[in-house]
Amino acid sequence: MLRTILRLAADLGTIRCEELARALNTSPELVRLALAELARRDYLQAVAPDCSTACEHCPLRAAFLYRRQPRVWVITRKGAAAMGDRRIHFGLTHVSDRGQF
Amino acid sequence: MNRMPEPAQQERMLLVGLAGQPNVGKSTLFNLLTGLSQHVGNWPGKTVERKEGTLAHNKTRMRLVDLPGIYSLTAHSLEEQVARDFIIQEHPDIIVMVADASSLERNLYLLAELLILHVPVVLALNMLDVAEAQGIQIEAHVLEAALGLSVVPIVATRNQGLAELVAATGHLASNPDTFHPARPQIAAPHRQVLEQLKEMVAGQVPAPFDPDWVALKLLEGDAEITRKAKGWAGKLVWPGIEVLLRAHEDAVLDIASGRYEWIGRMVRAAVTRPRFGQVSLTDKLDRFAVHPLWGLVILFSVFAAVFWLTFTLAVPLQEWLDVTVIGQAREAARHLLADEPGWLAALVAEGILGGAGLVLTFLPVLALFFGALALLEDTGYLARSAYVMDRFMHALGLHGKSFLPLFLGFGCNVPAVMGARVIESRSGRLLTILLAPLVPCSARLVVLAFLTPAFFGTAALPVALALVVLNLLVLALVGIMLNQTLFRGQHMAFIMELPLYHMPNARAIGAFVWNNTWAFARKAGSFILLASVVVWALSYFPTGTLEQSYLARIGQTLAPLGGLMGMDWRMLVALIAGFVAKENVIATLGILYGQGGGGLAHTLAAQVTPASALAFLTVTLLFIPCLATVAVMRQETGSWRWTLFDVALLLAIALGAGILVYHGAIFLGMRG
Repeated sequence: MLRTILRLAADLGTIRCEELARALNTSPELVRLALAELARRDYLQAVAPDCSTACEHCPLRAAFLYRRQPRVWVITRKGAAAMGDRRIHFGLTHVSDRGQF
Repeated sequence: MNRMPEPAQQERMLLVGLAGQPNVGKSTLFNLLTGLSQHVGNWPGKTVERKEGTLAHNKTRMRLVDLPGIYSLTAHSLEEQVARDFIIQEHPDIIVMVADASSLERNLYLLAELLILHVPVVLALNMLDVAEAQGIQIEAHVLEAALGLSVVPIVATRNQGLAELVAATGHLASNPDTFHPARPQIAAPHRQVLEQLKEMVAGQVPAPFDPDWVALKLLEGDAEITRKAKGWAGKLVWPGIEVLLRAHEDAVLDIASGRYEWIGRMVRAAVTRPRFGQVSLTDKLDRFAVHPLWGLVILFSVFAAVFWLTFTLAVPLQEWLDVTVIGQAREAARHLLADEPGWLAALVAEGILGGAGLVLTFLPVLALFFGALALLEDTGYLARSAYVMDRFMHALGLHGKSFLPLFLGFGCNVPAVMGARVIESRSGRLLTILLAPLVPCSARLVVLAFLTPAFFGTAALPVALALVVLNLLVLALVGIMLNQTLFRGQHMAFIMELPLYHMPNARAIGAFVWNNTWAFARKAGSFILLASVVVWALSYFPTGTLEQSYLARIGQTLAPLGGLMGMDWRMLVALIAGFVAKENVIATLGILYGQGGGGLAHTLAAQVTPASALAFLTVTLLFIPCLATVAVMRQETGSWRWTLFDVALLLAIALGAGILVYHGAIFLGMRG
């Protein structure tokens, strides 16, 4: 199931929890649990914060579109490696990977 | 059930652990079962509270230990470690696991881990009333059959089902051989590896640890067990185990998958969820709202509706304020200051009222615009539009992860640039920062909303929408270009959870509109006022006539460039003034073009040709960002090189697009 989640996300580029639940013939609640597990084990990374608990200094809080934002996870290097997916890249090409840009 | 048993009647004392996640009613159940027999201490060597109590059932006494609320047994937290150690070290006769029936999936994960520890479990299915209120039906006997263990429905807050729970616990304690639960299995790819590992650790694991459980935890990557096993196995055996574990680092995916598939089977067997209400409504609406084609159509229609509302309701009000309020105020100022030096009357009437005063008339436009966006945001639609746009950006080869901060740019480019912090890769963050100024911010949209009706009358709405689409197309093209050159086409994969649709909250929307319009008013009274005075001074001195002013001299040196886009020097100066703040574009136009009886809109319509106007609006949307955005770009990139590169790139794009649009418009027959 967890591998299928990673595979579907990698193949489709962007996928919603509900679509994952349908594809896996399970409930969105179980998919959320699986996503949390994948994030806890560094196969996914949450990139859009759940703003219900956003801190006062969050840059998104200064904007007006922060209260009902989608929660977003992205496949990490470890997640891509687990699938042997070479299409997902994380390194830099012409931009320095250290220090400032 | 008797909380104060007579010792003489007792035959045996059972050790029972009460496990469960936080907030499932475990403490309520513990209090009801043990009453006054409780005593509280700490777990040995830990700061976690340990609560114990006793109760009796028939001739059996039970020592009940309330374990800390935990989500799993992975020993990630002190509480989880305490619970795990209790089960392994103290060998409870029974674990009563309390589960929240309204969130069964989440609770079954803990049960899956308890069953792997081979401890007898009774499942107390609490909060059935809450589940039923949510329309969730759980068939306890079906769940019991599927799990292969006792499932006792209870409502702890009403003291319901407690006697049955104690009886089931006593029965299992008396008949431990009847406990044959359906345990989760590791998914196929790593079953053989687990067997191999079991053989390797057999004989190495000391009591009270179960070798099979240790093997599973090793394969799962459990840090604490790995550390212990390294010591147990010693230098001879451990290297072989380590090689095997390294070769199967991702086995945890198959172990956890086995648990999730097991949970899925149990829930499918015993749980029926409602097909009505908010979730179902969200599903129905999302069939269209996030559809690849209809989603885009809806998104475009929604933004068109926002512009239509702005043009229909707010722009006429703005024009009335401009002509009536500001116009009369200027007349009054000229009249009152008639005996004062000429420059003073001109400063107040043209510089302050004609500049910053004019900008203040946009309060209704902004209020409506912010109100519409807040409404869309509060209903949950904006999250869908982000999803639709994300697909769109993927299709165009843009860096998909950038959608969130870029979307914030519709409000203001400053948080859009700052919002790029959520992107962990430097390249992705940089690309997002470089693209953020190309998102038409609310200030630029206000300029658009004001000028398009002035220039294009009834055709204002399609023209404004076309310009916004053009703006987004340029953003996409620049994204593709940068992505293919500097960033070599990175492919990112996302999983997104969209919020449910929601009835908007009028108070929240009102507060949001107030905060933003008030912030705008303060800006008009500070930065824009100062900039207006400076622009006015440059346009007035040294002779008191615009044509011979300092600004005219500066502007006329730029006139050849403006000529390529059909703009006179005043329009170029207005664009440059927008660098301080985009609203200054209108303030400067107000000062430089003056305002006749019909207000600035009519003055501009009379003096600027449609082709020039179109080029001017295009350049306004694509022009270099405001000073605040540039400063934040420098701060976030930490590099003047990238900041100036982006400013130069945007300048070139804006001027190039202006020239193309102007000549294209003339080619298509527009008056130049």
